[in-house]
Amino acid sequence: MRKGKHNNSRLFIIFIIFISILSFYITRIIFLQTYKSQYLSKLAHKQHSVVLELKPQRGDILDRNYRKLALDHSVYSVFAAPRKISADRKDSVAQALSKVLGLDKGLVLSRIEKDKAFVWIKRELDKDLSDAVEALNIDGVELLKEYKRFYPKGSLASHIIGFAGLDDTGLEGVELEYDSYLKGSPGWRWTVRDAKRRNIFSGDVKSIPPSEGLNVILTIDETIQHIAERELEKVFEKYRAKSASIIIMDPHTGEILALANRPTFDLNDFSRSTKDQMRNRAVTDLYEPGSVFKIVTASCAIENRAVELDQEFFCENGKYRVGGRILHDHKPYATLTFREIFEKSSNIGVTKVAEVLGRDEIYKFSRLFGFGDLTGIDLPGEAVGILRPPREWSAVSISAVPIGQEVGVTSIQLVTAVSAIANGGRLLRPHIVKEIRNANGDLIKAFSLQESKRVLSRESAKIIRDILKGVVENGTGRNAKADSYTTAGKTGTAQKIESGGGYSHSKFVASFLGFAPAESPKIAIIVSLDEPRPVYYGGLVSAPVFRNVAVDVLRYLNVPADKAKEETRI
Amino acid sequence: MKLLKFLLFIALITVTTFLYTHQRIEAIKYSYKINLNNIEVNKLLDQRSELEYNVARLKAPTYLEMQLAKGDVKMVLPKRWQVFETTGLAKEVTPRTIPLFVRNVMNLFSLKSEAQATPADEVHSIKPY
Repeated sequence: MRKGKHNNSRLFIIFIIFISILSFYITRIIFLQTYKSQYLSKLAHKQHSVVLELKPQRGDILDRNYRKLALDHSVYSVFAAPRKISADRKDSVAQALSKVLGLDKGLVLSRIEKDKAFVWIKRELDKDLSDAVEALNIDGVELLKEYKRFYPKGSLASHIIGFAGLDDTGLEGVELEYDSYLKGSPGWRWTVRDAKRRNIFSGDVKSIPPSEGLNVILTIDETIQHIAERELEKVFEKYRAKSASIIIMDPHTGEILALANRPTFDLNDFSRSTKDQMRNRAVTDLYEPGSVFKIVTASCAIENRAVELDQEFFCENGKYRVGGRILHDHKPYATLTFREIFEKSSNIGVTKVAEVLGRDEIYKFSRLFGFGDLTGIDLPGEAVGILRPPREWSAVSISAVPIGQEVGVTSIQLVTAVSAIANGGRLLRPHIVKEIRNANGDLIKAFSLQESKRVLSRESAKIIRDILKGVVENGTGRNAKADSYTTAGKTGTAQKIESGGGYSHSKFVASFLGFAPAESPKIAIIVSLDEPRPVYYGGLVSAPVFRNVAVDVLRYLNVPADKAKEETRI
Repeated sequence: MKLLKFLLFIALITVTTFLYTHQRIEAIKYSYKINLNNIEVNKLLDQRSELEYNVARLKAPTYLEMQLAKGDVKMVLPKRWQVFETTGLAKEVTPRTIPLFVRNVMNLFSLKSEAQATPADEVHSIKPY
């Protein structure tokens, strides 16, 4: 009996203990579920639910034949979480990372000693380096996938393409001008992660996909660009010029087929380049064009029917006083016909023609050809140029402006103007982008023939073409003459203005502006070199470049030769 | 009887719970698999873009010209007499000797192609111009 009582009391004690434990848990559950529920569910949500930003891939830049000029490629950047690295490990971690990444140990140590949750150690690593960092397997040091811009053609068309920075934002060239099309917009995904930070796909995952960047297709042809750059490089080196530019344009559409400058830079290593190397001189730099500007005076005279082609002008045997200054020709001429004035590039002859036309007409035609105004090319930093209205001209301006002095022009303005002569009198807006397509290749936007205005009649344009053909056949542009194709153009040797005022006798801009084939032009080209040495004549320095480029490009474009003799140059 | 019903109810609840748990575990297992496959897909896409970059780099005219120069390969353009010019496909020759009526009658007994390509169906290669 006593034994039974004893057992009952033991059972009762155990019961009480269990009840107490149960009550404790029930109380705890009630506490957690009611009083702390919001806080805890928030904490859990924070740990499991992650909002991921889905970065869009920047669109590619391609040439007119869809050959890639710029593309995005994934790379890894290494970062550290300093708070996860204990104080005693910091030194060894810095040692290991600095050894693999080739960084200064002190620099790495200073970064991981910061009281921060996140610090970059090194961004955009090569694959070998990122593999080496991964192999270290350091707790608190991780790799993050990012996209980096790569330019497979290196420095080819560098001034056109431009470049994008670390944050995938365009900084120069087409990368800057068409940034809004190229960069796309990010997407988001709300996802659930487990304790090991692996994504768990569940039915309630919400996602907004990123809108990928669009591909920009240029009017540039990679092969034509290469031909232009190859020839420009040769002449730039040969004549030790300060800078050089070349533009090749389709005169019927305004499409730029090639545009290059020297000095240049490697797009994959742009951070080491100087501003001087990165400047797109063909679009941003102004210079006095010299004799190439005479095409405007010739056009004005022909369009106004102010002179006859065989009308004679006395060229004063090389010296002519206008408004207090003595104008010289590079060779003394007595009497020249209108045609010969341009073939021989006589400054005095052109001035006499200009005197017949008057300053207002010269100014009007200069404006019509687009000088003193933006061409509207879709590249950043285009310069307007300098063209003063006649009321601001001095007494000598009538002998200066018609021969390309007292005016500031860009190479793109000149090639646009000569294209108007080549295509029968229409001034077109030059452009560099042909179309925009999405990743699937669907056309989003096309930039075909853009605004044009007639500046010359067809007949006048044909006469000017004949005169410019004569410049190459019989005049100063003989070095632009090719064996297989007829060419036409105008040489220019412009004296540069000294910083103290007055024209320099040692610094020149040598240029050649023309088109080919002369009868039915397919390409218009400008070649200009700043301060070539020791030779500085446009006809000797720039004209051969024009010829070489024109022949190679026309051959590449399968344009039939319009002259009998075969070109033998390799 | 009541006990049996109760036991059956408990069993049903247990089985349902097990099935639900199993389904959730399987879903998570599959999500891990999908995750791994996604990682693999991304790796392959990265590899593809790397290869595309290399192809573009190797096809660069500057690089090709450098390789030709390295190998001392001298290339000369062919002379005109060395080039065969093809102006297009030869025109289909219809024998004129057979009168039209006879040809039409003969056509009734000959097999014709089911479909003929129209100019719109022709695939045009991308031309530089």
